[in-house]
Amino acid sequence: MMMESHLGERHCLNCRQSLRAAAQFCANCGHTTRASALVQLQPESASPQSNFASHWNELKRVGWLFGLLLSISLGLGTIGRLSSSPWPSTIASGFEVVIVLWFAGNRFKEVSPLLGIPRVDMRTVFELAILSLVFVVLMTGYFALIERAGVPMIHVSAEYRKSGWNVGLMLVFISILPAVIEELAFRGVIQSSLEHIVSGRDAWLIQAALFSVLHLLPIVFPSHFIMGLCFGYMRLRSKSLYPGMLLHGSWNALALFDELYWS
Amino acid sequence: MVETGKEPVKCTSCKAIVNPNDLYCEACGKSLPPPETYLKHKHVKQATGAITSLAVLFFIFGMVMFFATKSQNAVLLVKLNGMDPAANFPAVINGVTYTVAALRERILFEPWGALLVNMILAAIMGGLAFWGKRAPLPAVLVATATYLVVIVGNAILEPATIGQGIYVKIIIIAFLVRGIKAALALHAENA
Repeated sequence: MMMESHLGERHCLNCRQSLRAAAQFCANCGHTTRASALVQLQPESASPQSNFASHWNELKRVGWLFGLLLSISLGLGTIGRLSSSPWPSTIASGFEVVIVLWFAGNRFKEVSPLLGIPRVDMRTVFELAILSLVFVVLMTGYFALIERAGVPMIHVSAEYRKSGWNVGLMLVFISILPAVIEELAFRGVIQSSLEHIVSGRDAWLIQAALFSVLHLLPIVFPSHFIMGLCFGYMRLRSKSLYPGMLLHGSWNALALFDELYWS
Repeated sequence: MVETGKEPVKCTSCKAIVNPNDLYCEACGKSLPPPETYLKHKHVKQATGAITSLAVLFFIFGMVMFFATKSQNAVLLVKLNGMDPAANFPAVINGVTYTVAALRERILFEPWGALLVNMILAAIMGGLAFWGKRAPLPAVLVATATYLVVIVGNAILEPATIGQGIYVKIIIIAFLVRGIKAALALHAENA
């Protein structure tokens, strides 16, 4: 499968490109230079441009959701400096609900199966229960450690208590609603979108990292990264958002009751 | 001719050194990425370089903040030493009235807090730069998100900081976004 010119230079028979000394394949078309090997070696894959465009669109969707949630945190943080009322937090939660539901609606095909009843066997239930227990022990240890180190703790219920809101409302706005919305946003929309771009493992790690940093305080980045990993693992294992929502909401409720009654 | 940096380009299949402009490996016939891919590699390297720079910047900033805050607070601590610990401090700080003892505790923690926060950020960026060598797209995505959050977090604490070093912030974000695009393009090529 090669020809030699009168100067001793070899050329590919397929594309006529000149071949370098000792080359066994043409660098331009991949054709073999050996007569015995006549196989077409490399079938070409799908267009990288179309892959790039679809992946870029998925990333933009993740970026928009993350950016909007971050903007709400910025707005809330700025207003929170001026006001000690719980209403800014409540209104911000309302905005978050609308935004996350809109994004979840756009990804209904991927998110809706995660809202079905988890189909898990007893072994998985046992595994998730052990994971939840380890999670609570780890988080309690971490927060006890940073409190002991003198890090000032934020009391999320303080503004609600000052305004006389009852425990039921606090439970809804501090424990349940954030758990449902964050699970839907991070383990629902974001993890599903990222799974189209990167491997399931990388998507799991990225959503945990985004969940962690969106809580804004660097001191809680490590703890919330582990939380994100736990909730993400639960979603992968049970193929449902409910176990994560349950653990997330329970943890938030524990933190609230700790503030209200046990501290 | 495409610039590829100091490292020679190798075939992913047989590890033979290849010319960056070749479409196929001359030793085993495996198709090689198009020459533009090496440019994308370069952009990814620049982005991971930006992550490393951020790690170093956070580390240096943490050290500087620690010593600056400590020396600044030493003056305040001397003032507080002469006051009754149970009494309220006469001035309101960030909307909060502190007792002298609580304010003293807060002042003592402040330099350590600044150091801790910046060391956590430096460690995160260092870890991401390391991860970026193996998985550039996830690492650059997380680094960009973290950096944006740090800017927003600082803006919440101190709104004036949003304009500080704005050109440096824009350059870093531009590097990171270019890195995301390049890593995504590389990922699409390999998919």
